[in-house]
Amino acid sequence: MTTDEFLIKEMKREMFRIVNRCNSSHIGSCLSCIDILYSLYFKIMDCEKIKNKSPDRDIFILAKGHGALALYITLAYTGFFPKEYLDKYYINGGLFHAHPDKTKAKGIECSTGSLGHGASIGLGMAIAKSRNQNKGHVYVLMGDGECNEGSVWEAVMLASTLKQSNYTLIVDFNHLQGMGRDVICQDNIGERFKAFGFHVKEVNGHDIDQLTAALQDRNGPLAVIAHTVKGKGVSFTEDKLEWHYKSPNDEQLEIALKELQ
Amino acid sequence: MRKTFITVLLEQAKLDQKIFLITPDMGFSVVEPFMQAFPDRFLNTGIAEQNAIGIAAGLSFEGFKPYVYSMAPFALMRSYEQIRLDASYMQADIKIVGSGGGVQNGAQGVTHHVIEDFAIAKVLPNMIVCAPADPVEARQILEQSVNIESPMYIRIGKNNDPVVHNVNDIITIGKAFSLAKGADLEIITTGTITCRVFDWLPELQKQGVCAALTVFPTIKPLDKDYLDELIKIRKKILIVEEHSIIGGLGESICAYFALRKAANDIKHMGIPDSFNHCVGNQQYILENMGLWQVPDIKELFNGELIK
Repeated sequence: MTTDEFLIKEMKREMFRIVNRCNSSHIGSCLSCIDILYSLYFKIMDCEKIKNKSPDRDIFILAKGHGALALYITLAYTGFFPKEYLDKYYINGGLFHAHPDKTKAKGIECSTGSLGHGASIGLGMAIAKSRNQNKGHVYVLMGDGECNEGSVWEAVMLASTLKQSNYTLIVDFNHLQGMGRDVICQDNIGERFKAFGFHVKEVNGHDIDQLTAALQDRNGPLAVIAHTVKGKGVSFTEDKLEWHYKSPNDEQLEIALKELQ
Repeated sequence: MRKTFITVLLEQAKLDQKIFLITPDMGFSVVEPFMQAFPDRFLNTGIAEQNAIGIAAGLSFEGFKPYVYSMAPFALMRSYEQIRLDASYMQADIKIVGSGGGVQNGAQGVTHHVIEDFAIAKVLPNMIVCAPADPVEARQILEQSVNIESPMYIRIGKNNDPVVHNVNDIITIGKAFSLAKGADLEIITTGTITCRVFDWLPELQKQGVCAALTVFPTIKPLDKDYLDELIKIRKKILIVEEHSIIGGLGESICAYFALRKAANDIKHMGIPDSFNHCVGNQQYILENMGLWQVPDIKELFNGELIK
């Protein structure tokens, strides 16, 4: 097992323990996008610059705010805050909501939770970088369901008009959203981004090498279509809509922890 | 007031390198001077209000002071959730400037009117809400807004708005301003309808009513100190606003008075809780709603003598 695989499995186990303990939801979404977050924070972005709030830092926005636990885990494992903070997730008097609140901890660039906001906010930050001649790249992670929101495409059409080279949209394309599979048919989502003037890269969203190669490309505006499986890594959660909502019981937790060894 | 807006913004942008103007493709023959003077601090997002607010928030997080200019109904309503979350929740330092508030867009129809803006803006935490009565107020509110680090909604007028203030009047965000003294009745207004109400005063004299006129350029935060004075002297009050009778300045004041167990007799004139289907200019519509004509004060206060 590579170091990457080892760490990601550990992070996944930790997320399972937390959602079991807190009886919280969205484990499927977190398993879908954790490899993307890992690639960004462990391979692509300079975390020290982010911690120092450098104007030249890379910026990451979790537009699909319901994946917050995956973000908290990643931030904890990259030293943005002590891992003990994770004990304060989703409990009375705790620290972290199920959707990110930027006032809560270092490294959370944007409060999200309602879909279709991150692309615009990220574009604003990318434009600020260009106008101020600051370095750094803006990455926004959206769900494929999120791309149903019209506001996403408002941002996309403007980003290509501005030839916003420091701007990358990542789509966590797991085909499952609120009520089911491919509620809105987006099979050609890559072509849609292309038609709007974006460069497009399609990758296996669970392959760290493929993700890293795509995210290294800083000649945006770029859309990285990350083909993913919701609930990835555990037999009973993989590609199952219900794990957007359910929390594993103790028995399920045990199975998951075993499979994630 | 649109000209005042762009003139003041230009002046301020020369002093403050962080001022940025965003428009969702609105402001033909208004914003061009800014666009030409500061192309690096101007952005037309296309007709995409949600995106305009999100981008403004993003720019503010990286140190800019964005002003988003559009027609009031579109600026505030099309992008309302972005304003709630990207601006209010995250306390983004962005200013939303909406032109043509109330029914100023007259015969353009209901889509271009905004009679709900005070209500939906003031209910948002962290949001400051202003509605200058004339270019004198607009200038000072805009100048002060530059150094207030908070989301803010400013309803402005259009072109050739009448002037009700003396040029030397000092306007402060959050403070009421007394335009005329009068012992019998206190009329409270906000926004451009103030100019019309000012014209009522000599007519009210003929009714035997000596009315004071006080303008509230700021709807939120409410100038409670001023209201406390009115409570003390139990003065009769008439609130007039070009806004729905629901949720505007009148409702804020009435709620405050109720909580303070004020004994004042209060009447409220605003836009009825219905959409306006009559075709005509601003004056025509306001006449139709009974907001233009000088009110019969005795009748309004149920026959009670003022004195």
